[in-house]
Amino acid sequence: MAQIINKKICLLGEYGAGKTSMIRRFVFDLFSDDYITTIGVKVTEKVLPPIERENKLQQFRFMIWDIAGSEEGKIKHENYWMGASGALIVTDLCRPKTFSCTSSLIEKFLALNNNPPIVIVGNKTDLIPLTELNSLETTLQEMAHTYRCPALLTSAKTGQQVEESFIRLAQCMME
Amino acid sequence: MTESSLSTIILESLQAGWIFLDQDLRIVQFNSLFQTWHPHYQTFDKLSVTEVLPETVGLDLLFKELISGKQTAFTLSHIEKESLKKETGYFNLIFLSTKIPEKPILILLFNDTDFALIVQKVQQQSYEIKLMRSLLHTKTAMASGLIGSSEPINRLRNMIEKVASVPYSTILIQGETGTGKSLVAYMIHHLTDKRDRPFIEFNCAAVPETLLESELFGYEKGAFTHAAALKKGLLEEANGGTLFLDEIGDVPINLQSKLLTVLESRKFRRLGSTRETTSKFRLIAATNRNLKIMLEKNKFREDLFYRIQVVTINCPPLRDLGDDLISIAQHFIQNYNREFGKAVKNLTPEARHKLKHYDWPGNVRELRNVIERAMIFSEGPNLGAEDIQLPQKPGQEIANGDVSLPEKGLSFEELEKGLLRQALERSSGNQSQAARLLNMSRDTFRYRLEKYNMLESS
Ligand SMILES: Nc1nc2c(ncn2[C@@H]2O[C@H](COP(=O)(O)OP(=O)(O)OP(=O)(O)O)[C@@H](O)[C@H]2O)c(=O)[nH]1
Ligand SMILES: [Mg+2]
Repeated sequence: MAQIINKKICLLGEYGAGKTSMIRRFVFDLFSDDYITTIGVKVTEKVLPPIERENKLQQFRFMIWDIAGSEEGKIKHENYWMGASGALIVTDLCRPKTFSCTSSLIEKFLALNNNPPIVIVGNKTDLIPLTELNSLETTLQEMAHTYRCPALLTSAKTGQQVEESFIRLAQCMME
Repeated sequence: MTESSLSTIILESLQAGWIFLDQDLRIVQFNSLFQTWHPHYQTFDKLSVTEVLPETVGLDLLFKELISGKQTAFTLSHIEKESLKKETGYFNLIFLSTKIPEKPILILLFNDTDFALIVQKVQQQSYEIKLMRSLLHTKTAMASGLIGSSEPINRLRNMIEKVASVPYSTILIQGETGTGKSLVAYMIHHLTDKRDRPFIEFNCAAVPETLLESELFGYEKGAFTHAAALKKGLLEEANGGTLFLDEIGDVPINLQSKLLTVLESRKFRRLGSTRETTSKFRLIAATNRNLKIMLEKNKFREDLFYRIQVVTINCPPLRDLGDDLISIAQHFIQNYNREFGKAVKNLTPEARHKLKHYDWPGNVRELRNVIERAMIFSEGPNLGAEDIQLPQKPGQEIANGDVSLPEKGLSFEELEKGLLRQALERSSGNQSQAARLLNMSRDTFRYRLEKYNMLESS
């Protein structure tokens, strides 16, 4: 069996985008409609299933940093980002403004940690009518293209693509 | 006293948990408070710091710099942990370089819970309001602003999406009182590209006829006795956006023709002005009356009617929505949970039954009031049938004027005043609605208010 490697990853994004909800869904398979804003940070551990790459098996234990959301791109604690091996950038599909707000976060995060992999997610798909989804996804993909990273549409409420997002990040970390 | 025992005394006075690490980042010394805060461990001796404090995973570079003295201090504040007694606590972690070769790193752990909880409360209020407000303004949330999946709601949703794509067409929304006509108008506005433009909402029944014209058209300074300064009218305020006129059936007939002219020419004059003003807006009109019957009685102009009913949207009454009624009630429960700080989970089957077998003359507005009242008085985790207070069927109290006169008699005047007041209250000050509740015309109703000097207060 492959050795389990500890990795720190951060969830970044605007307040209310669904960072805490993504983690609750991924780690505990739970969801609540209540909103309790995160101040500071909470670290939760989760061992991922082994990932195979070029005939090599690797298994990560993620130390997931649920970090207080930014407000219109303003960052409160860069110290939390120190030593992260990757990040999930969470945006809120209901508030397309959260896309542009996160750009400055991404740039600072990448600079601080020597360009670790990131994955951008557009969360709350369950609230978006199908007719709207295409254009929002296009915008998100354009953003992902700028940073050469994957983008996924998720719903912490229904669980759609939540686990996939974390696994994609793990895969990127193996490259 | 040696230097090291002095620093131990200082450390102990800090009310902090602390550990010293060796060059391999293993714990070589700790105090009792640190142990209390990490009760799962018998000892920490020679344990790796990352094992005990998962927050330090990934911080290798920082540790290296602390050991070499390149960095002297580093702080992580408000770290949330569920350590002691399973309660949420917040800690501040401070990393210090000691420059002592056998224990080069000191980590201090301060309990920060009291302060953090205050910060949390303040932040919560601000973000919660902002999140709700911004959700209200997004296209997407607007489309889901209508709750439910019943046939009538789906039809309504489709209709809204369709008409929103035609920017300036006039729309008539029909529906009983309390069916959410104003929400529908707001949704149409926000689904069009006029989202950032003004949305002007006005209830034509809410002001006396004499004021209606100046409200709509505005006036120049000195146009009449009380016109002390220029005032823009709603027609002008709505320029570029949407003008939503609720209770359009209450616009008096002479004003109807003026309104029609504005709709056709997009031009009008402020009262007391000779200059024409142009204003381009989408008119959404709403009514809970049957305009066709008003046409027949010559209470509504035919040309205006045909002008505004280019597109008609019907808001279904609550009693036709089947199980959506329960979803809407649950939505209100969530809202009031937030507002009242309660944790009501759901409705009992008996409560659902009761809600579904009432005919809801006041529709969604009435349902909201019923849920609000139930939430204020409820104590259990669910709302039961006994929490749901529904009025008796109208007419049950008084069958055909069959009120029995109390033995000692009564003051007829007081009775009348009381009824006028109640009617106004029940219709939130809307005189036309209040008049209808008492089965009289608006003029008669106003005459009676005037008689008792109640016009001011209404
Ligand atoms: N419908 C829906 N609601 C969601 C989803 N994800 C999160 N929410 C809701 O959005 C609100 C905010 O979610 P959180 O997970 O607390 O957001 P956050 O990013 O952690 O916010 P901060 O801690 O303030 O930065 C909550 O009310 C959640 O229930 C989703 O996928 N769908
Ligand atoms: Mg959070």
